[in-house]
Amino acid sequence: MSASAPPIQQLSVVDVAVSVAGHELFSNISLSLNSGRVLALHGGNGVGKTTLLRVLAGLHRDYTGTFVYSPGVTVGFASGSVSMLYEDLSLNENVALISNKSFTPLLLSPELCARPIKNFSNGERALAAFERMWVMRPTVILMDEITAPLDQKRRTELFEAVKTHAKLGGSAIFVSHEELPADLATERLVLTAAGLSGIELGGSLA
Amino acid sequence: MTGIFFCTVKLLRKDLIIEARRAELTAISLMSVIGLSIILSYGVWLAGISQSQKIELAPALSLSVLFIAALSVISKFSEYDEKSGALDGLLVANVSSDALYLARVAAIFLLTFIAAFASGLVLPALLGLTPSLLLSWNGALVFCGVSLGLASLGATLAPIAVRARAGAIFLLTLMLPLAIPLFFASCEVLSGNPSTRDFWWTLLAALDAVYLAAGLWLHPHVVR
Repeated sequence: MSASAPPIQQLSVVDVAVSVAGHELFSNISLSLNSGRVLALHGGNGVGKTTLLRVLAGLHRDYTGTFVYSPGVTVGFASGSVSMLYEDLSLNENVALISNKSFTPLLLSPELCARPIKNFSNGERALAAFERMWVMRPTVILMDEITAPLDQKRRTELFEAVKTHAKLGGSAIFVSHEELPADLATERLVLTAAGLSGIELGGSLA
Repeated sequence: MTGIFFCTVKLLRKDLIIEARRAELTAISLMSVIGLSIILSYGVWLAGISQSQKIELAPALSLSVLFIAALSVISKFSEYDEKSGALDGLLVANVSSDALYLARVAAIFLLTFIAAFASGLVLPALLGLTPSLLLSWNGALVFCGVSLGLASLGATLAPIAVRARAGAIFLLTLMLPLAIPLFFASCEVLSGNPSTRDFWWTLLAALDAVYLAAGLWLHPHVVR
């Protein structure tokens, strides 16, 4: 990944639709995600933002349509509401389950990383989820309400990390109810039952 | 293959560390063993069963206790994974599904075998029999076979049941028809006709192999 490389398509989504218990949650979802792009995905409660991210992370298989990651592209998923970590283990121990490399935390203190997740605050849990995803250095990062429980300082640090990731040729999708910083998001998408509508923000990442 | 082995060991270690910190599953299975052993022994005592009949009955009672203890361990393991969403976290990090399955089989096997050992001690003591009846090499091998079969079934079926309504009953419904042949085969090995023992041993080993292989094949579909 390098800053000067031309944008490369990393994810292509075509006509993805999800129904839950016979009720169509959303349909006609088509988008493409290129290197260096950060999409902000908005939408009201219950429209399926989290479900769409879970589909793209491979965690929700009950969908129609297709999505393809380009060869060599890896995906990471972190959620601010469900940490997806073993609560009785420390972050270090959770990371050791998925990686053999030594773990240096980006946003949390090393002391905190040695304590069981069950003792973490909501904000620390969200950061722990992010840290665990980050350790795999995925190309495409999917984040579901990850910033909601964070204070301003941590939020800024996380945004900076994602910005650097995008500048180095990665990409990201943020599901959030809040506006992302103007210099971070390159595109803003709104999810409704009928599909996605988008605004090109033309962020200054590339 | 080496990768799967080390990943399995890492995941098994995780299950054992969590259990050591929570001490929940061992307590549940041991309480099941002790509680059921007391109830069954009281029933045997009320029925006025003779000593020789008790010796014949002990393996079946002990295996019944083991089955219930295994069920409680199996459903709790999956509930824990589901509650924290941690299994999703491992899947999205591309942790090998085979390693996840084998580690879970090993963890259930170890805890079930502890319950089997406890039932081999507690039940004969309450029935007034010598513990050596169930703690012989033969008995230990049978308990290994049953524990492995139940662990293979449980690791495959519990992730389905935990997402269903009335999951515990659903798990029992799914497991019972498949566990009954294990139960009969092991009872026959322990207290059946010596001339047919080889057949029941073969059946027990075959069931273990089939359940383990089927679990390896099904598990990726089940957890997704």
